[in-house]
Amino acid sequence: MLKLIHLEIRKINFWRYILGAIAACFVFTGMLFFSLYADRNDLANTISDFFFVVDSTRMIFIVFAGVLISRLIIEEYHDKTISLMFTYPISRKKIIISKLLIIICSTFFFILASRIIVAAILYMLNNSLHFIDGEITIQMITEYFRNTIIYDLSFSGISLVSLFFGMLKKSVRTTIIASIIIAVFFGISNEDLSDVSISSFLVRSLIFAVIGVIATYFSIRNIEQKDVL
Amino acid sequence: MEYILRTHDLGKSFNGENVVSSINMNIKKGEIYGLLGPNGAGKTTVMKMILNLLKPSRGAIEVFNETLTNTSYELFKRMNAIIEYPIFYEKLTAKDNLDLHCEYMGYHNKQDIKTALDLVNLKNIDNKAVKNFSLGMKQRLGIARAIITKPELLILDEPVNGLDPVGIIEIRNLLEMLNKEYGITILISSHILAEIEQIADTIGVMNNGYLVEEVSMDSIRENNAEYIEIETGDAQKVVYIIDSELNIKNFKVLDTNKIRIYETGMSQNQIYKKLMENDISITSINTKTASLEDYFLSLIGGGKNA
Repeated sequence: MLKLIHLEIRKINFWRYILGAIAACFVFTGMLFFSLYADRNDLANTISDFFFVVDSTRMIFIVFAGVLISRLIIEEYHDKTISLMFTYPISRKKIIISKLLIIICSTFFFILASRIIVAAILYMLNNSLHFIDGEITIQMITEYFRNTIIYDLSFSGISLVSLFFGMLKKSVRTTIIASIIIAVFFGISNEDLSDVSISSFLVRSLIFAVIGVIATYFSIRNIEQKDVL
Repeated sequence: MEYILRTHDLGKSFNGENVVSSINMNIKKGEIYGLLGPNGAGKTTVMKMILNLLKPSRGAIEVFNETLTNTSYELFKRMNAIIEYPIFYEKLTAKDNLDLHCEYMGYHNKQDIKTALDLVNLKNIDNKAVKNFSLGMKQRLGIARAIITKPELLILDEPVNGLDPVGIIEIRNLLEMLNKEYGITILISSHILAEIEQIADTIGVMNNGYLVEEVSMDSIRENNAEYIEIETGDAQKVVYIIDSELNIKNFKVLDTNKIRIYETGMSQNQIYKKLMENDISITSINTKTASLEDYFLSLIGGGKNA
């Protein structure tokens, strides 16, 4: 399986996508930061605004997952290279699962990593620019991350829903649009720290993850029996 | 006789419409099997079913004495193919494509990549992405990819499409070499008769989704070596004479004024004399050698003439 993952990464020039995603992430959070910064005198920026910016990087990486799904799965169907892949002595399920693992793992990793980086940058900026009312401590941030890390994982799950829509027509455009819609609807969890309990986090995360798994199951369920046209 | 591939009453329908039906193909180990048929006859569909890309609606396929199922992946280590047109990861170079192929096939003799590229005569392609290749180059690269691992069964769907005449001869020689020296069984399809005629040991003729004939080239050469063609204004009378007086049964009326006699042991002269005796005027009488083309046309057109 590791070998398959390695070969998949070799095929698609993976690093280019990662660089693109990181760049998009910084541009996006930069914009949000400046809007916070510009409004600092008119509106009171609270700590939840701070985490809003941190969490918004999830949106970027849900779309990033959509791009990876298109590149790794939908385009293989579109370019018919999948009919080459499926004549190899490897189970079709294994091939698809190795692709999905790349998508889930890298989405999870990049959501988490980018949130940590953005939080660190915002924290440092706030120390010198003071655009957030009230004090933010490192403890608050680590606490927040500890509570929401499972959320990052479930978002990686729900990002797979775009696979389901993309596979219907084997269309790259549908996949990307689906992932943008998912990103906009689910991407930001603007939770107030005080009134969110861990259990409600868990329930929502679980539901998201289950939706992702079901969507994936329906996209690839018959893959061994299906004709490859 | 050892068979490497057999199909039993194989059929495929798309949306209730039969595309191929009751195909019973028998490919012997070590032979070159030519699948011949006009466009749309179902050649590619049959090949895709052998490769498990399309799932048969009816019947079964037996490869290397095992019945092909959805999960018989191990069998694919032993065969390779080009279907329709060769498909590559276009953004990668030729070497990367072949290297990936070896990895996926579980084949680790990487120096064979170079050997294969030399065999198909592809040069100066080191840092070129496949998307910049011409169709002929892609075709050669596709053949190179299919032969790197020296599979036992090689399936080639119209492999000489897009090649120049020199290239066609090169590939034909290459296939014959692979067949003779490595004992690779080759299933090759084409709508170009001359191609198949020159290399195939057995041909299967497909038309409208049916395998109308499966016959060895040797027996075609034997059976269709010669015929006598008579052109006349009055075919009916000629038929009467050769049937009743000369007792020839193996003949065919092509149209209103052409008759072909396939029976051996009767010389042109004898027939001519007999016709003269009966006062039948003929425009011409000739002895001809049938090529596969005539044979093929007689099979394909058989439906219309019957």
